[in-house]
Amino acid sequence: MISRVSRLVVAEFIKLLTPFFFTLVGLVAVGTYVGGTLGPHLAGPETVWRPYHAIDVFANGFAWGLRIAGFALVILSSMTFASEFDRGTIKNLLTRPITRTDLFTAKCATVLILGMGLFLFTLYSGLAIAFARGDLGDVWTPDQYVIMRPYELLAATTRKAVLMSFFPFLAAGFLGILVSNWTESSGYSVALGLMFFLFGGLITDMLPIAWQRKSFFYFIPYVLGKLRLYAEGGTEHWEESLETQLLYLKVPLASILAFLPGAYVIFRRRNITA
Amino acid sequence: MVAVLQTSGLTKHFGEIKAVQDLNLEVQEGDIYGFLGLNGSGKTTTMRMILRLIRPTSGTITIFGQDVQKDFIQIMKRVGSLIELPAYYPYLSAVRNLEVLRLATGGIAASRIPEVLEIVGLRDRMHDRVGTYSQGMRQRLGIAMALLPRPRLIFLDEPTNGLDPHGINHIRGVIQELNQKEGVTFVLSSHLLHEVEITCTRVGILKQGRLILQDTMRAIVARTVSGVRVVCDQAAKAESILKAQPWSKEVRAHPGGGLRVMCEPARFAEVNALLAAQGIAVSELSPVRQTLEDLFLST
Repeated sequence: MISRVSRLVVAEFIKLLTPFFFTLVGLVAVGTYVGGTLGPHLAGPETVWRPYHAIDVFANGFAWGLRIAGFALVILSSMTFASEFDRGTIKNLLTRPITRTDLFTAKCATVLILGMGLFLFTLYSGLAIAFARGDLGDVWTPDQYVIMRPYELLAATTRKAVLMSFFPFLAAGFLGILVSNWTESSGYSVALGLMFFLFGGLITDMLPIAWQRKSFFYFIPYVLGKLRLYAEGGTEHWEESLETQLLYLKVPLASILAFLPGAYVIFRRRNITA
Repeated sequence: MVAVLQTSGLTKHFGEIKAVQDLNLEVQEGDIYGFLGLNGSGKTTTMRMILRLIRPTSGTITIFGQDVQKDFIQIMKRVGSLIELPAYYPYLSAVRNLEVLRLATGGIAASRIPEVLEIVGLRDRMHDRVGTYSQGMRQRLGIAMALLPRPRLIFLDEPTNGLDPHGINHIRGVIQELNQKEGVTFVLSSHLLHEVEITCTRVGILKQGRLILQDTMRAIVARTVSGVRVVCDQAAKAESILKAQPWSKEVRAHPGGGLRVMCEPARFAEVNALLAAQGIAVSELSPVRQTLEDLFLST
C-alpha cells in the first residue's frame, strides 16, 4: 500500500503544479511582502532612533501571508476530489490497480505536504522580508532608556508563535478535503470551502473566549497578533493555557480527526457516475 | 474456451429504477464481445459495476476467474477501460496525462507511453496540451489510456465516438490486431451496429436492463438468414409455383430485382430444383439476410 500511495502522491503533484498553483504561491509572496512592509508602518512611523523591528515586520508579513496561504490551501484542497469528479478523471484512477483507500490516503498526504510546503514558503518569505526590512535586537522604550523586551525572549516567542500557527493552518486543508467530497462540482466545492474558511474565522471572533479556544481559527490571529504587539513593545500577557494545555495542537488535530472520517465514508460509498 | 468475464445474477437498482436485472454475461478469452442496447438499457451501468465504480445491488462478477470484490487489485493489473467519454486533465499534455495513469498503475515502463500514443496515432501531438485536441484526438487518447497497462481484457464504451471514418477504420484495425496477434479480449459497446457486425465475434443484447440475446456473431448471422433471392426468367410463373409450396411463407418482388422467397435455408436447393423442373432458368440464387440492425430493432 505504501508503494501505491507514494506513486499516487507523485501523480497528484504532476496534476497540481500548474500555472494556477504558481499564481497562488505568487499571491502568498506578495501578501507576505505587503503585510511585512505595511503592517509596522500602520502601527507608527519609523525613525532613525527607532527603526522597525525585524520581528514586527515578520509577525505582520507572516500573518498576511498565512491568511492568503490559508485561502490557497482551502482552494486547492477543496478541488482535490471534486475536480476529479468534475472532469470524470476519477474513473480513470479508480479503474487502476489501487483501492479507494489508497487514493484517499494519497490525496490526504498531498494536502499535508502541500500545507507544509505553503507554510514553510510563507515562513521563509516572512523571514526574508523581516531581515531585509527590519532590525534585530531588544525592544526599547521610545526614549531609548529602558528595554521593554529583550531579544532572546522575543526570539523564543517567535518560535512559539510559528509552531502554534502550524497545526491550525493544516486543519484548513483538511476542511477542504471534507468539502471536496460533498459535491461533484469543483466550483461549488471551492465556494463552500472558502465560505466555511471565511465565516469560520468571523464566527469564531464573535464567540465567548472559552469557546474561541475550541476553534482552530482562533490560534493564528491570536499568536501572531500577540507577537506583533510584543515586537512593538506591548506588555500584554500571553495566554499560557494555549501552550501548557497544548490547545494549539489538540484543537486542530481534533478538527482534522473530525473532518477525515466523514470525507472517507462519503468517498468510499459514492457511486462513480462521472 | 476459458471465460474471462462472468457475471451471475448481476442486478442494480437506483431506488425504484431497475437499471440492470439478473444479468448473466459470459465473455470468453479472445472474444471481441459486442455489448448492444438502446440508450438507458444498462450497458454503461453494467460496465461500471464490473469495474467497481458502482456498487451492485446483488450478484457476483468474476474476471480471469477471480472475484472482483476480493481480488480487485490483481485483476485490474490486466484490465484496461474507456467508459463513456474519455476523461483527462486538459492543462496537461497527453504524455503527462498518461504519466499520471502510469504512476497510478505501477509496473509500467515510461517507454510504454510513446508506444501507446504511436498505436493510436497521437505521437506527433503528444507534447501538446490535451485541451487543444479535437474530439477525435481526445477519443484516441482515451483508447491510449485503456491500452497503457498492456491489458488482457479491455472495456471500450463507444470507442469510435467522435471519430471520422479514417479514425474508425484505424481504431477497428487496432482492436482486431491486438485481438488476433496478442489475444486481447475486448468488451465493447457501440451504437454503430455495422461496426459491431464486422468487428465482434460475440454479441449480447441488453433491453431494459435484461440480457435478451447472447451468442456468437456467426450464430446470430446464421439466424438472420430469412429467405432466398431468386433471379430467373418467367418471373410471374415462378412466383405462382413458389407461392403454392407449403414451406414458402411469402413470395414477393425483391427491391434489387427478382423474387424474394421467405423460407428455411434448408429449402434453398429445393427452390432451384423446382424451378428448373418447370423449365425456368435460374440465373441467381442468394440468401436474404436481416442486418444486425434489423435484428436489434426487432428484439
